Amino acid sequence: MGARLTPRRSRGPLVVAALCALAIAPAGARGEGRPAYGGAAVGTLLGEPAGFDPIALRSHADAAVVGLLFDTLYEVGPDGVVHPQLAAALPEVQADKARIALRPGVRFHDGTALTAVDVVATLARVRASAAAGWLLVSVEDIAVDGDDVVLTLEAPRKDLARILATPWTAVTPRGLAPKKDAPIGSGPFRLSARKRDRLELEAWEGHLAGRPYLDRLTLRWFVSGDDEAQLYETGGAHWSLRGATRFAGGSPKHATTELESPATVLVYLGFGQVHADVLGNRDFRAALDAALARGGLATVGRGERAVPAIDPVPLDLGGPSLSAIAADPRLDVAEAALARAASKVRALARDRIAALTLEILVADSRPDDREVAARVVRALDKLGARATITAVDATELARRVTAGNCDLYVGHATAELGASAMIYAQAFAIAGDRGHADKLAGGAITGVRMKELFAARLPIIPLYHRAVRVHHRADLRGAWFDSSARLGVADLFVWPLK
Amino acid sequence: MTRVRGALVTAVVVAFGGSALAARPPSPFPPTPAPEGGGGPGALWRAVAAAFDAASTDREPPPRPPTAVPVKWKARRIASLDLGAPLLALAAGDLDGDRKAEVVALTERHVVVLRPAGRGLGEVARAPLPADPASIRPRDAVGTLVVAGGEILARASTRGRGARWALDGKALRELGPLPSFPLCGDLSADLVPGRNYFGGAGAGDKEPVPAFYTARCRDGVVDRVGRAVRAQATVEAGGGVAIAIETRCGSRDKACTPRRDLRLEGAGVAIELDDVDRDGTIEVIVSGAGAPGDADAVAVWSIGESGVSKKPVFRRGFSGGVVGLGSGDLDGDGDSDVLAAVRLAGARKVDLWVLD
Repeated sequence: MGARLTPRRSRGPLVVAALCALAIAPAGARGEGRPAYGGAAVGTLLGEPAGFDPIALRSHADAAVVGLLFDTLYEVGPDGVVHPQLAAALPEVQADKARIALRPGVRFHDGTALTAVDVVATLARVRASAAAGWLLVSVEDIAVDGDDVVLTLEAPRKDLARILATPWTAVTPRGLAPKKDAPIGSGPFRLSARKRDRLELEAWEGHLAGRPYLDRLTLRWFVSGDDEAQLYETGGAHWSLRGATRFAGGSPKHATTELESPATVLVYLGFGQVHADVLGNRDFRAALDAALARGGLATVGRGERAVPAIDPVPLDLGGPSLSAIAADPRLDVAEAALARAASKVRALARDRIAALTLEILVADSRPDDREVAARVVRALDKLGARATITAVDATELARRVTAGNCDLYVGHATAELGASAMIYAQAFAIAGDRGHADKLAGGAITGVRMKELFAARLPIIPLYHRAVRVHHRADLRGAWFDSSARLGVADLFVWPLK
Repeated sequence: MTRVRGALVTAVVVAFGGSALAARPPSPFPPTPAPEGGGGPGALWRAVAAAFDAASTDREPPPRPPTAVPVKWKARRIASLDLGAPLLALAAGDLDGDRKAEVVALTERHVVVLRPAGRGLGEVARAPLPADPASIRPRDAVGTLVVAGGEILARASTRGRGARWALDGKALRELGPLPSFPLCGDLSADLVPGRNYFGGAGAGDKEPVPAFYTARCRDGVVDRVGRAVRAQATVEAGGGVAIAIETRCGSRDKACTPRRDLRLEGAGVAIELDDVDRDGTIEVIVSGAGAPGDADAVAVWSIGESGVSKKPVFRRGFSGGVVGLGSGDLDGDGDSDVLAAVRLAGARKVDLWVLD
């Protein structure tokens, strides 16, 4: 390609001297190479996504996919700072009103315009939902005003933009739940196919934050623990979240770069309703909590950082570190708690507990969870109870957990909000305790009372916080993790190695 | 692509392709336009134009060769600045008429004017970019910045429009909006929506514009014999640089080549053109073509009669990326000072180096 000059207006030779005398210093450049567009990549998720509905997301994989298909009003960038996304600017707060202007020209994947009506309907649906309503507990009213969205707040919130950056608040057309296999969002990718073990995505040209660099993206999940690393090792995938090789000492086919997120994904033990009398008893939960050998959880996984925890707030976000005492089973504490539980629940009495068999549900596409569940089985064994592990697909896991149709399950939760109160609120929301979730999210319970409340209620049992470690081909550039340990997939690009 | 002239933006669509270049007039300073037809008035116009050109030729001043100012290439860091947001572009030019160039930085949020202070640079003025939100922007922020005629012309992809500013004492005064990205004093372009390069499919019968990352021009320099020269470098999306050197040839100067098209490969997006030592040959200063985040380098290539020099006249490696290059006479000593802004990818803090 040649560069063509646009000539200045001709003034003839008389102006030669004047031109020579002009000391114009034109300028303009930017460096550091620019990512090129094109290509396709095969990558992996941290398990199978259960669905595409933002308000129903329950796992890291769900959040990752929702973030690719949909947009939120705000986003948390690589720098950890909240930036406008669908919004044109940060909320303009006056008295109890927060006005949010929308970025013009945004379109959904089907070409329809994304308007304030869609945003208001989405937020109204979030607020009304059992699972995610706690996020907007401080919002009294949501309305359209011209092209803007106006929220009426109980009290000003400094973290409003951060809340509106969480994936639960991702905007859907007219605020409706996405279709099961044909979700329409405005995010950087659109779904072209969902298959048994993968999602196939295409770049959305009209994305407001720029077209993704990759043309196509395949996101896979695996039931076998080694298949993912083997696929990467043999050149079938561009990144792996479960190591670069199947066997230690091996080497992948391609030059590889490694990147690890903060350890902010909470792996927890959740409770169902099948044996509600047993598992709803807080002393029994405390007994199980104390019987767990948490120290060993640091070795779960494929080498990524795992931080055993008794608190839902990650160490990397200012949470407490695990004491040496809490790392080992505290059988005396467990026995005392079990005795208190047995005084109220007949099935937990010494002569009956051996007859108790609990089922632990795990997602079959998260192989590490089976190892975690095995450790829970051992803890229950110390209490005298038996347990079985049932691996089901993500959709079935979500269905049964939502219905309470299980005893125990191993769940994953991403830390979408950095504030401790919101993380505690999320823990109560996971357990379906909307009352306490609302109080925590609304600021009615603060400080040390939050911890005391959590310890007393144990809505879930935190097990460990894990990082996400990605091994990716060295010619795949632009990788970064956000504070929720999600990979910035839309920024990935191929830069051929020389 | 549009032509920018002061506050006016004239919608002149220009093809950027090589074929279009070949079809262009041989000189950037063509004779007075005298179109065919028009009956009596047309003939009168052509006669007047011919007489005007003939008179101009007779009064053509003799070329005045430049006086070279010896330059020693040596990189030294003069400042380490936190500009408050990632830097997008760098330029230098005289904004206050004191014959010394100011340094201008375009960030994702501001235009910042800097001036030598002590052994480094000090901030003189800063203006926020227009608040208009960009509807669809590229994933990596892109910005262009031109200092010409005592004005700053700038636009960042983070905003819905650009603007022109003048330095008014210690403040920047906005003079007017810019809908497009300024590339040179009289050239601007629009990004392909959502992407980090310029170009377009072409409207109507217009040729499609091949993808390019940026273009840079240099006016007001003369060649070895004193002929006015204009140079433009266009950084193509594939990594090559197309360089056009256009010389104002006198009507009796048969040895003069009015236009030369040259190429340079393996260059990055940061680029600058100047006759740094005033010896009548243009220097092309380019960053490396590495990936974002990789180590980078600045190379200075000389464009002589035989084309681009076989080896760079200067090369300096940097552990960070070279995000911007600029050239201007900061100290008023007659030669240009070449500036390089170096940073770790995405960082707000940049190191400013003078290379000569």
